[in-house]
Amino acid sequence: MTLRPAPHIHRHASSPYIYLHVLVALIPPCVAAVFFYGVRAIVLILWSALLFLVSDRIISVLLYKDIHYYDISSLISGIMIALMLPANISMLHLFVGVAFASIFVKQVFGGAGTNLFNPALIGRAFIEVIYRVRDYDVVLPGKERWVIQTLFAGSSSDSSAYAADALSDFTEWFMGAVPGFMGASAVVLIIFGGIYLLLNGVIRPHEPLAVLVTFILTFVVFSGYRTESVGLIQAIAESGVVFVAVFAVNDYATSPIDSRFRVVAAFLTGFLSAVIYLLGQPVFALLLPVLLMNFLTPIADFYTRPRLFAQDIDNRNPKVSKLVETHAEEVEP
Amino acid sequence: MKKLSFKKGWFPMDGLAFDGKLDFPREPVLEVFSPREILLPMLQHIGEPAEPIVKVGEKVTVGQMIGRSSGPLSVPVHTGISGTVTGIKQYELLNRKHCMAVEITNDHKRTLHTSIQRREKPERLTPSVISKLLDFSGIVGMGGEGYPTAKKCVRAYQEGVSTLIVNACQSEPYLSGDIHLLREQLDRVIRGAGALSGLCKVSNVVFCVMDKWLIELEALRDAFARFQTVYPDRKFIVRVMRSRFPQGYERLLIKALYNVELPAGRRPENTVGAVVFNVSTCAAVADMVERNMPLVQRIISISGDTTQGHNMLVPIGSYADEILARVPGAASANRIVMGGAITGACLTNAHVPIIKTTQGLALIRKSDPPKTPCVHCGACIDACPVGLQPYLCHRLLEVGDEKTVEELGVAQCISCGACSFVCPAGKDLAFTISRAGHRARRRGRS
Repeated sequence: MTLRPAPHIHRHASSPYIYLHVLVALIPPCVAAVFFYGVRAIVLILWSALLFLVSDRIISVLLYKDIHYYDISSLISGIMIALMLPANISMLHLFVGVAFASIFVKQVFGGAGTNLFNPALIGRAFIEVIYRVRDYDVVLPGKERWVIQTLFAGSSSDSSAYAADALSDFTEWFMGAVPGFMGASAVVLIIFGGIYLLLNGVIRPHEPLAVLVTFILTFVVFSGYRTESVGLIQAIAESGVVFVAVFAVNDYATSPIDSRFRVVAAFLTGFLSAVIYLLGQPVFALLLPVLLMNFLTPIADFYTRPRLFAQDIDNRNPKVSKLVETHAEEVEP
Repeated sequence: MKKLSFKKGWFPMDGLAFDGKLDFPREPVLEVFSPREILLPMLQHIGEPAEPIVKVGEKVTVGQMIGRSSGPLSVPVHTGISGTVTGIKQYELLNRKHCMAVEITNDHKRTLHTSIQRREKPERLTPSVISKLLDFSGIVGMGGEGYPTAKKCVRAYQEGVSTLIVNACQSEPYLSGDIHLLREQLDRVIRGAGALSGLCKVSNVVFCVMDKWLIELEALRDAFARFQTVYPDRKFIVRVMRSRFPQGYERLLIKALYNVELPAGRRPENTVGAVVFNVSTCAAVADMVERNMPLVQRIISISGDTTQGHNMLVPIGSYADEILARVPGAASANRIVMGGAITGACLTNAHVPIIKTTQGLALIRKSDPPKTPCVHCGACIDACPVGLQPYLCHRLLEVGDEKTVEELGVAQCISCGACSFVCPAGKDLAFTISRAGHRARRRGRS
């Protein structure tokens, strides 16, 4: 006989179950990355994920003596960093970004669930800031599919190939054939992942829809005369806003804990993302809005509390007679 | 029809893991159970324990009074079997209270006491007679509250209530005793509600039924038309509730019906003018007014992940282990829970009598989900029906900051267990927070 406090049954969505579902939802964008960048993408994604896992494991054992809990959210962060990078990044630079994210963003703050910022986005931003990834010329999809000799040094390719006329077909945009990110631009496949998460009850539809709607509206309003459809689709694919909407805005640890303010944060994210994109910074349109919301989350959590039952209500003299009258009126439909 | 409900909570279809069984099959088995022996604790209600009035060796019959009421908030205890009194001893209840308990061995003859006989036209009884009958019957709130029904009626009459609410929202999954009563013995329930409404002098009788019970809704409307001739001055109303957990709690029921939030400790009688009775209580009242049968048996729901769920009619005082010996699959359970699977208490030893407020037995084999750090997902906030922040209260209680927890309103906790149920990190939120809530309420009183 085991003795345990009530309740004795639980919803089957435990933390490992949720993380596993997010891992599965990340498979479609990974497929896009592998389709466009081949072996290079496989190597980079696996390298990033395993690096993050090992780093988290070592640090959590050293810092917290926590040897029992195997945290597979590390794999998620690792894969997300890789998907948000261009394919010509070198493994060394990836190592620096992952180590920074794992140690200084996740573990120092107490490990899974207590981190202040989304480790994947910080890791990506760190790489951007110290190595200036934009110095790498953006890689055209399909060009370096089998190039693995330059994995450690990174490579630079001819940016003149990135011409506007080559990208006029918006189905290619939607499938992720966009220079810039390995997998974060594969709009259709990311949406498949998002639908999988929705069906399994891991995320709610509110936040992704809020981000996308605000992004589109802001873009249409502020882009002035440049509102032709290719421009909008290009913006959605190039800024990676769908990736943010599905995988970052819903992040449990770093988004506001009250579901109403999570939607507010999502609206702000979509707005800022469109504005920063229009200012000509696709990478920061992906990273900065979410990181800003992460920064505001503890403040929002502190000042927003759910309303307590029977609080601020004068229950001493509810108008009994009136209540009963209304009650008797609605007898049958 | 408009479906009423409160905010938050969770829907039982969220995925309960009893091997995919969402609820009982539509036709529950009702077994009549005849135990070898029963143990009747004298304290099965709120208030003072009853006094045993039988001696060891005395022959007793079904419906005979075993313990008489000893104070204003005390109710008598009756036996549900006929046989011989074999012992009167001190007994420790599950809530650590001590009282006397009478042990009776069954002779399996089911001899009825002489006072039990059918009464013609029970609707003609005057309130004073019904009041006397209820005082004698030992009926208490059978939804788990345990407040003497006779006293509740007096209180309601003094407050001048206008509505009687029959609470048929047994929102906890796998408990189906109430729905069984509505389905099979609807006339009994309405008869009991009619008698109680006569006693409380109310004209509106409101049945609160959950929206998943569609067949019962139709049957209720038919029965209301039938009973309108029997009770011409009553207005029978049915209100539909969303089948959301924990809808059955009194304060949440009032919130759904009247949109009035009762603070902890406030009663619906003097705020909204309504008095709430459970379906099982109404059925027991009907037994008393129809054939003088006091509260001696009740329906319990037996559920679990190793057994097919079914309902059983057991005499009060039957031992849980004797009941479970007849349930296939009971031996493989790791946990035996008295009450529902969400709010029940674990038993170390199943040799425990069923009392008037026991709603069921749950047999749990599955172990609890793995313990992981809190991921701040906010599921507990979205589940808590009284608007607490369970993750924060739990963390504060871990570091021993009871004062801040009290400022966060922990005294409002209704111990429903919704937060622990949804928690993906497997934390014992409900356990720590409801204990802190008890402490806070005790401090608030003193």
